Amino acid sequence: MNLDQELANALKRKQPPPGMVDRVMATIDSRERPAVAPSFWHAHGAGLRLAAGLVVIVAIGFGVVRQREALRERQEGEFATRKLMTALQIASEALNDAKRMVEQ
Amino acid sequence: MVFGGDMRRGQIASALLIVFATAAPALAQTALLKLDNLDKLGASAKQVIEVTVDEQLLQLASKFLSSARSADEREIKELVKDLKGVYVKRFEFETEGQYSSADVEPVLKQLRGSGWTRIVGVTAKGQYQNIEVFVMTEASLIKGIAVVVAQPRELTVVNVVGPIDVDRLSRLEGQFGIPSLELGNKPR
Repeated sequence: MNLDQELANALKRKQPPPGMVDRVMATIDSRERPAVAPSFWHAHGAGLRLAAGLVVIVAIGFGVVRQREALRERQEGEFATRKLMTALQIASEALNDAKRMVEQ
Repeated sequence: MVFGGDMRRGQIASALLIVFATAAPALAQTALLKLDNLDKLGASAKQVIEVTVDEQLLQLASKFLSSARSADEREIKELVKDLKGVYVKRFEFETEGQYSSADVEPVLKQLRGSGWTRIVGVTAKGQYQNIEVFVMTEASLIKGIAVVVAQPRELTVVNVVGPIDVDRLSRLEGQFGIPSLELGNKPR
């Protein structure tokens, strides 16, 4: 046999033996996969979501309390102003009564 | 021995000085009147107007008043900036004779005391009408005003504590959207 004939025989396409594909796939599946480090988000996701939720709740609560405080301060201020105006009004009237009586 | 006696005298003098120094502010004349004795008139009154604006409330009101919002508010803010309090009691009665001069006497007694000067005292002839205005001054500065308006069916006592411009105060009547508190028997 000449060299060309030997090469042609060696390189000739051959069908794999039956069950070859299954065996290869089984070998792949059985191999251990390299450990992949979980991402920070995956590792602490639940905790972070809880913390973020708490921050939002606290911020909303703080906002509501501050708003109520501002409203109460405004109401107290308006009440004080009304009282002061009424007191000054009566004081002014009393003084003017005295003035009118003196002028009479 | 002599030295010890001098030291003791010095200590006593220092102690007395401290006592007087701390007691002086308490003994200082105040323009704040005691008006509690008038409260009993509320039982027979048709209407009672009692307004107590102490220093704390004055500060709150001053903080709330805005000079930029309106001229009225600016006027009031300016007027009350150094005040310590405004106290008003007004009693309106259905009929005459519901109170007597004896009820007003405890207030007038305080005003006849030292520190107060009566600047107006008017008694109308033929009817029970008596108006008195007192001021407390210190070094030409008004420390307080008291006005007692006694009419047949009405008794008003006003006590303003702290320096105030009386002319500006009298100009306030009928301002700030507050209707003038017209009451019967008033000379208008």
